[in-house]
Amino acid sequence: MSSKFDVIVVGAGLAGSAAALEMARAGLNVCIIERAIVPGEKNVTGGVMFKGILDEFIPNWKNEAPIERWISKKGIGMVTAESLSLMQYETERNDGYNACTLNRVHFDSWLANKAEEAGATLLTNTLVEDVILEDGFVKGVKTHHADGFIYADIVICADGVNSLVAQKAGLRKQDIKPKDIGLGIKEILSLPEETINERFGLKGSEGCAYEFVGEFLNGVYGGAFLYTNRNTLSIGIVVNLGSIAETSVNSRAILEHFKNQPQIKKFLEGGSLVEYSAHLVPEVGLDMVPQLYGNGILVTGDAAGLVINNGFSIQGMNYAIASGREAGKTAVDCIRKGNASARELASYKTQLDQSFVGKNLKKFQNTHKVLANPRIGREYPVLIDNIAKNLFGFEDTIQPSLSSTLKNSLRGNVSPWQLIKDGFEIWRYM
Amino acid sequence: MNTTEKLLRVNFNPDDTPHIKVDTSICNECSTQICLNICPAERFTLESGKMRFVVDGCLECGACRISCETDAVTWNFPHGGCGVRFRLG
Repeated sequence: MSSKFDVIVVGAGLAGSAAALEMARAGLNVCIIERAIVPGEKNVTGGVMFKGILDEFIPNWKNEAPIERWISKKGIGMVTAESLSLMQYETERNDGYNACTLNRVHFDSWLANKAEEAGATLLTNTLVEDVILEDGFVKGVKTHHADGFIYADIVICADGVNSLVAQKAGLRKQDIKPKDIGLGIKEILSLPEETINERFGLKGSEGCAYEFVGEFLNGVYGGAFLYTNRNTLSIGIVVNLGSIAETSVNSRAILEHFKNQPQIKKFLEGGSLVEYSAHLVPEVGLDMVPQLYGNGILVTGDAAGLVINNGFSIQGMNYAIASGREAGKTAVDCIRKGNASARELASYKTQLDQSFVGKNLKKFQNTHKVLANPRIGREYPVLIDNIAKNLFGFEDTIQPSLSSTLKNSLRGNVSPWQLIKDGFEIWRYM
Repeated sequence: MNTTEKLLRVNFNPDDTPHIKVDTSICNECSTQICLNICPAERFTLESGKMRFVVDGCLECGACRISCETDAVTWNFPHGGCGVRFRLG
């Protein structure tokens, strides 16, 4: 197999297929190379898809994309061994559905298919082992097939968080470090649709998504999530690899511990495990973004570390689509100009910086430092539990005032100085 | 439910050669053995104090690749079409 394309995209995930779709629409000869048998089979989501970018990119997507549920309810909770303090936002607005849950095999296959329909070639079952370098320019890729050299003027690396291709091409000089990465572990539990609707107070295709911190983390920087699919629940944790190493806490035990918190257990009752999965999550935003372009090459999506956590919602899939699309646009310009030099491809970074991707990366570049505060997983859930049980009258005492509740809850738990310091950081970086 | 039972719920298409190689002689000297805590599929285990690694059942997350500080882990993706096949990712 020896062929030549305008552009090769490595990886048929969301970033890759978005790039390919953008370029195929513009008439470029594009090949997407995917190592899985079916696009999406290697991918795992621990969250929801925020829809803004799709509305713009594929206006009719709502009517054709396979989605699970529309998020009408979102919350964050603090969990202790005896309690759950939940802050929840719920909306009845019909146009309020800003996000949805999805199954990556269904959704990624759909997006890859859109790129194919637009004229891109999808090559599955194929692992890209390296790039072909000629005179300092990337000129294509080497696959594991015999005689598997495929040539192109530009290669777009959309090969995910373990982007060995970007590394081999020299765009990521140093490998990502444990402290830059979260390990996601997820279980899918099956439950009848009606049971999910009743249990979570949902109607029809409405869904909910919750994120949690709490004592179950055992001092590890991370969190847990629970969200509804049509007839399954996704439950899991994301824990920082550097923090696991520092604390010597077992990652699998954190998930078990979380599932066994009494308030969480009630949500899961009767659910039977249908799949177990794990995936890495880029966690430090701008601090881990590699060189995004070189001669004949661009990096996008998780491969470029483009995930943003502002403390209330973690977004990655929409950033993958947005950044993939920008990479595609830049590639179209450069192919038309007949110039794939790093100098020309640099406009990808300029465009990205000006888009919501780059702006949010910059705005939340220090948020991960706030979230890594060990008190979020240890002292604060207990503090909130204390305040809540007093204020809501769960303690059989003379009703305390707000100020004395706060004062008593803080005592021996968090020093006022720490509280002010943490509060200041939250104010400043989140 | 233990990890082995969880992995029974996952589809795999086995590769003919292992995509991860672990030099367990290095692991046996390793002071942290962080892989024991990190691998979500519990592919690293201690048997009579010696490290044992089994590649079948690997979820291809790459956590061992990033966390191992001793270079005992040589990590690659399985060949195209091989390895884990998530149905509900």
